[in-house]
Amino acid sequence: MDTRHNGTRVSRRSLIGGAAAGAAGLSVAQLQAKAAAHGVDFTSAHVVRQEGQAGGRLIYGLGFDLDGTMDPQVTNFDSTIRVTMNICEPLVWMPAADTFVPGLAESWTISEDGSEYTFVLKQGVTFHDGTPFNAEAVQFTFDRVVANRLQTEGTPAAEPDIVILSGQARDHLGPYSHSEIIDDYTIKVVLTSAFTPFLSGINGYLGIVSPTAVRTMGIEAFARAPVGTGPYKFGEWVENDHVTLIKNPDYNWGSSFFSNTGAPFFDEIEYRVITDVSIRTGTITTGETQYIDAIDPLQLPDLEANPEVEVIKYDQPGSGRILLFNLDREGPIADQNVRLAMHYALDKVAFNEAVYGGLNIPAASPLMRATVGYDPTTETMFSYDVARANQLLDEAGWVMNGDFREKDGVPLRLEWPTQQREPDVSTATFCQGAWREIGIDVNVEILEPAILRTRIREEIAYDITPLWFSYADPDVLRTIFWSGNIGNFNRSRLNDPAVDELLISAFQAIDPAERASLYAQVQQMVLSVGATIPLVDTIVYNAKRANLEGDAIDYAASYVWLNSAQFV
Amino acid sequence: MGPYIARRLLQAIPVLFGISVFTFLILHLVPGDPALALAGDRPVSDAELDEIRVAYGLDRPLLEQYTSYIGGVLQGDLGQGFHSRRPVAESISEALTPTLQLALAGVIVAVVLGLVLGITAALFHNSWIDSLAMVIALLGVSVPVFYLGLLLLFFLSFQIQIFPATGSEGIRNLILPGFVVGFSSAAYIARLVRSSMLETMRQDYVVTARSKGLRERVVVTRHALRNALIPTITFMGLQFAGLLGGAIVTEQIFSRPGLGRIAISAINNRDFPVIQGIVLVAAVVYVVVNLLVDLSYAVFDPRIRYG
Repeated sequence: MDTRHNGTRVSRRSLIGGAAAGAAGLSVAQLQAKAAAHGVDFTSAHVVRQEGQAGGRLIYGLGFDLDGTMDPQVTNFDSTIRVTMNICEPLVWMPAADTFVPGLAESWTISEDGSEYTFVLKQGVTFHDGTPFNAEAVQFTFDRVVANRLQTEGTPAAEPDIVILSGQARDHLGPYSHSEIIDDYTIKVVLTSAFTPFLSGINGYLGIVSPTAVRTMGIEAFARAPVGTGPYKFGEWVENDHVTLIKNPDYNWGSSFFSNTGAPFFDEIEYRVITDVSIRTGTITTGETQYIDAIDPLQLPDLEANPEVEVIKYDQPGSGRILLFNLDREGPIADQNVRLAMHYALDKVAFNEAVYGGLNIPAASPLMRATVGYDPTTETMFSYDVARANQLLDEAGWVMNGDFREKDGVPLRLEWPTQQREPDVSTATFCQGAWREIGIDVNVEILEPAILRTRIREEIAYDITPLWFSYADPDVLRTIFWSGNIGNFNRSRLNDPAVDELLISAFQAIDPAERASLYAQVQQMVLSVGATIPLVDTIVYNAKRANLEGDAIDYAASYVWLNSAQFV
Repeated sequence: MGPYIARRLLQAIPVLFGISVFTFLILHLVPGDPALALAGDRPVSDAELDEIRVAYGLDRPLLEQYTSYIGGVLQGDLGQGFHSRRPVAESISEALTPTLQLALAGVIVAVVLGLVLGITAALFHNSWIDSLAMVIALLGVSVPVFYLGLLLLFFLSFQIQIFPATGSEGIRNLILPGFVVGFSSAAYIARLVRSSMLETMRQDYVVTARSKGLRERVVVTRHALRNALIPTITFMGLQFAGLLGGAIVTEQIFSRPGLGRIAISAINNRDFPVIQGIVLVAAVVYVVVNLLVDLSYAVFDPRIRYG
């Protein structure tokens, strides 16, 4: 998908600098991003920014807690990045599909074979500790992500005291080999092979950290008070309660994508952890918070009718709410007909109504519609057809005995261990009911998180498990279906050399059409062998006070930019 | 009283020791691998999991793990959280303050509301006031903490908007959660105070006091209430642990920081040092509160003396 910014065509392959995103007003850019996500070509817009009041404090209701760290390269949580992205900025931002705008990089070029990325960095940027931002800091940040892996492989780290156990950042960095400092403000990142999702990967999880701060504070103290170049500095973190960020008055290197490239308008942002969705939603109606993550679907009509509140709706890319079948498991689930029958027996429209109040979209593919490379032909592969489901089971020799089917004395009984949380439990119970109709007995077992983790990852004792993975690139399919990820997110334990081959070729492919066709094949293959049932494509529903303006959200619908946000 | 306190504190040592052994064993016996929790959802190989286990000492024999843990505890070191890599003592002391504030607010609500309801009911025995007070007490005993919390939030925070729903700074943020934590205890206290008041009001010394021509207020507060309070104090001591438990649920509903929040995430992540630290601290609090309760008897009942 191509998008336009002030008439300048922007795509992944082109060299884009400050000029590309130009002086796009934030509201314009925001609209463009939204339009792009909905497939609208947005070429002209005229939005007059109202004069707001500088200063003040924003209270942001965070839907998830942080995961015990604020080090962007250690965390596994998007919610942590939602906070740290204001402190540690990445090289580029991704406001829309295949669209990248400068973060700390001024511009970048990609080698012909797609394996080398050369970034020209912004000059005059300083970290919150007063040290200058330069190519060394970028190299330091990227190297620390792989240091632990190298160590495991037998390469001792140069600075063993600051080796971290890297989180999601490691996956996002792809086949990173090393980086070469060309001069203070130019760095060449060398990959072991082409990796087309590289730019979308170096987002918030690869926010640049101050090498001096990491060395002097040590990794544990740094993880509690990170130091970067962002518009906000770390203020205070009370675990399970809130994180306060304080305005960085020296900031004047904001992305040209934002209307405000200087210091942010708010003096402070408080990220308040409010995990209960109905209470979080309540606080936006009273004004106790001014921006919140994911609202309570039941309260959507009330919020939409409330003139003081604005609901922000955004299609998410990545892999939606899907079910994965454990293909390594013996017993009924090993029978492909059983898995396909289960797909036919699910009424996804009713599922969306029952579990999500109809707020999401029934899914056809493990890639959501908003993702580049989504294959629309998957929409014709399955339909809700109970007769077909029963026929498949009959053909496979599963006969009814009482309420449920059996074959050669083996009952058609499947294990679905789950956590006591929503939407996990209602997903499991809905499907349990639907499959009972075709004579399949599903045992839904509610487990404590640590035990569930052991059950899934160590004992591998499950037939069905759900997954949800928002991601800015179709490479998410590799995360879920590549044999190298068995034991991690490949919970279907699919081990198909043909699928592996396609997934690797797809992340190396540079031509968008070629990538799309490779991913289309993967989507069709995993559906036709019954490795997965896509349930719904998820839509993000955030909410804010109507007098808050200038906020924007990235393509992954995960990072909320507040650089230009203010009350009007 | 000094030797008595010393003796009680010495008696607490085997209790705390037993609790530490018990917690340690339970943690290692129930399924759930801390190394997996530490790895999170990121791709991780078996070799890396082993490396994590080595780094956190989880590969060592149980006895060795325990002795090194208890050795640290004896030197005042509760260890480092697996997840946050922070000293456990630091995390706990940070979380203990808001939890104790909440529990204290709960005690105040319980005592004040309980006494007012109980005394009024007793004084207006068999009248409609008595019935009303007892209906309120019945509600307090029967309404679950989470439900009461949500109801109050809905009406007082979201509808009339007189109290904030989240946040933990200042007294205003403490009123609703304090009420929720203390309400059920208040109900028990009301029933207890009512029945013991009714009993003491029939005692000879109350009749004597009245016949001496003392004012009713003096009779009630100095003669009847003081004697009726003893079972209430015992009850409050026992109830303190219940208040801490209620605080855990309440912290969740009102998005407050505290021991309950860190306990839940520590359990979910199998963060052994943090769980052990919390259990130990809770046990210490329990021992100290019980001691204080026993000591307070002497204040209210001159017949009781400790030596």
